[in-house]
Amino acid sequence: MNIEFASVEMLFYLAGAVAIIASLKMVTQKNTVHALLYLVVSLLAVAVCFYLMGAPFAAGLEVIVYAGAILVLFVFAVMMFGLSVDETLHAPQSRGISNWIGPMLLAFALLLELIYAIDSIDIQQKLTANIVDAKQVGTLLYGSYLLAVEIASFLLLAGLVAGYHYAKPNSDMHSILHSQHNKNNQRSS
Amino acid sequence: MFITISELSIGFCLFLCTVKGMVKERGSIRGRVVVLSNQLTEIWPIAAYFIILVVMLAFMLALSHVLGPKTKSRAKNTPYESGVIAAVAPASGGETRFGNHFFLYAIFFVIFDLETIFLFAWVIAFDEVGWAGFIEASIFIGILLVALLYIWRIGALELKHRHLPFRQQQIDAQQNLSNR
Amino acid sequence: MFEYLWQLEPLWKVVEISVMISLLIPIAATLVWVERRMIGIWQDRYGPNRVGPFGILQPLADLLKILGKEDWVPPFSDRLVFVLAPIIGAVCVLMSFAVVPFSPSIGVSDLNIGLLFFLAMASLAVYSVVLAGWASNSKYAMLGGMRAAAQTVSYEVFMGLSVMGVVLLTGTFNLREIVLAQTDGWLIQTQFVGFFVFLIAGIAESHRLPFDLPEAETELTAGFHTEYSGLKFALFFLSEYLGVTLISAMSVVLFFGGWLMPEPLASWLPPLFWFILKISFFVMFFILLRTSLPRPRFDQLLSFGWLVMLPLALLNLLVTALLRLGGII
Repeated sequence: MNIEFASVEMLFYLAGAVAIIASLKMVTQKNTVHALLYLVVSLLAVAVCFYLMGAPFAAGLEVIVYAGAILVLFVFAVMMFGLSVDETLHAPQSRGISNWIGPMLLAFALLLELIYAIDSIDIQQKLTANIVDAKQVGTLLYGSYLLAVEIASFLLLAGLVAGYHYAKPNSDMHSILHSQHNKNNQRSS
Repeated sequence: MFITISELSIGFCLFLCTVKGMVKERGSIRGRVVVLSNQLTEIWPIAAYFIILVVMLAFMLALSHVLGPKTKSRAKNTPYESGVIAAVAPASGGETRFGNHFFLYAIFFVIFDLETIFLFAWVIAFDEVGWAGFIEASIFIGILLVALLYIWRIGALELKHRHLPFRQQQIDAQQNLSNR
Repeated sequence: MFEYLWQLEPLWKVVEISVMISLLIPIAATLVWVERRMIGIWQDRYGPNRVGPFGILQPLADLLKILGKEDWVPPFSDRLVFVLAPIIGAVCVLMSFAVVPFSPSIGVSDLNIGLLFFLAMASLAVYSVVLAGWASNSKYAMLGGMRAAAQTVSYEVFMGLSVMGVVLLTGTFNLREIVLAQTDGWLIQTQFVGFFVFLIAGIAESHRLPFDLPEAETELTAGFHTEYSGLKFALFFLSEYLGVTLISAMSVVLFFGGWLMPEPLASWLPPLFWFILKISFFVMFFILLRTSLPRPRFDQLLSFGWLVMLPLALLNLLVTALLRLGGII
């Protein structure tokens, strides 16, 4: 038993270390696709952490939703629009303290909160209670959090419609381009 | 740059805190052992499987690297484009960019994948939530079917005029312009 | 005594895992031969019949030849990602086999989220084709990669939705429990619509004919693996055939009762053989599909998915739920 417990703990910290290192590599990469790949590794490691903490459903969702769907969308965009090279040269430069002091303060507030959470015994015991399996999640979602699911469906609907209208091919633009092309042809002939 | 450094430092602090928490935790954690050992018996064979797999594939690739010949010829190091390399692909910073029809499908995929996840939570707890859950899930599915109907009716699921013959495009464009 | 067993058990597991991996890859290679022979027969010609009896050693000859090919990484490509892409593909497909219960006692792991694990691996497999297309840095590969991604992600949704009826009726994600829940009758009796959607989504996911548009040679040379050669190409090839085996195995586990058989038949052969027999049936079906159906156009493929498969899968789920609540199944 003791050996098993020690190995679970070891696996957990191994996965955690992988997640941290992969995130660091992700931030420091020049190539966008490489950075995204490191992010995928980091998310997978976090999924392993979830699993070992006793949340198998959350682990599955982490892989399917984040690594399998959202990052695929990112890679897709990078690949399609040719964003793989570092484009920070074209980005607005952030010089001066005023640009980064706000995010910094917010990040420190978050840090303090997290330190409190990790330090407090109460929260720790709640965190390490037991396994939360998929059945419990489903019962809660379709029981007491009924409204949240419906709201989520409206959010998804809004996301779908807005996503389409942001990304749709600009058909008017194309017609204009083609018609100008026509006019030029007529003039020359 | 500053933001990156501050992020890094915060990350490091967090890491330290985690380690500290780990040291502190050690005493109070024994109750979890039985629960966790169950998780372990399920996941360690998968981890072992993964490691064996990666080692084997790496070995195979290394073997082929060693065994294979190394040759040189004039046109070998050019992309397979029948000798006419017309455009540089985006990966090396070329200007080629593609239409975004495919990207739309990726967006739809993300939305409907999330829907799938919600429905998975429903079906796994189906017997527990009963009729109330069924009605709720029906509304959920209904709303997304409406969304599907909408994107179908506005023609978002079709690859549009770019795949028509060029003459057809010209005619459409002229009509569009005269309508203005 | 107990302590001693606990020390031995991991060792057996590792042996089992190694045997499984070293069997799966030759099986996939043999599948290539089976396919070529079968297509030969159906097209009224011989197929490979020179190496060994009936040409059965052809896969071995192919493997040796491929090992002797140059390990070429194009200088215009993104080297790291170029090498990584086929490995990701092979690992994702092979990892899925870790949760498949082959027989009452054989199987790597009874993960409690086995079905989700399978879907997760299927969704990670997209990276293989997308990255291969991107890293190759050539137009055909790029277009093939993009097609592959659009097709795979679309059909992934339908695949997830099609297996929901199974989860609903059995109440678990654990694949072994799903098989055991079918002792009284296979799920195909009530879930044939789900099975239909699952099978078509599976064909599209593994890029098999008639849905092999990402590598349609008449339009895109070889699609996302245009620039690949030697062993790296072989890995893509292998993943495709392993994908066929995987989809067959999952169809059997989810809808056709895994290793279970009705009573007079069950005692004739060990469970593992019944499982393999059922898988072979589906593999043959896949090969027959390849020889008999033409390719659709790409936009037809996608609109068929979104306008037919998606509503069908959702309706199947709702009807199953209604019948279950009404106490009929």
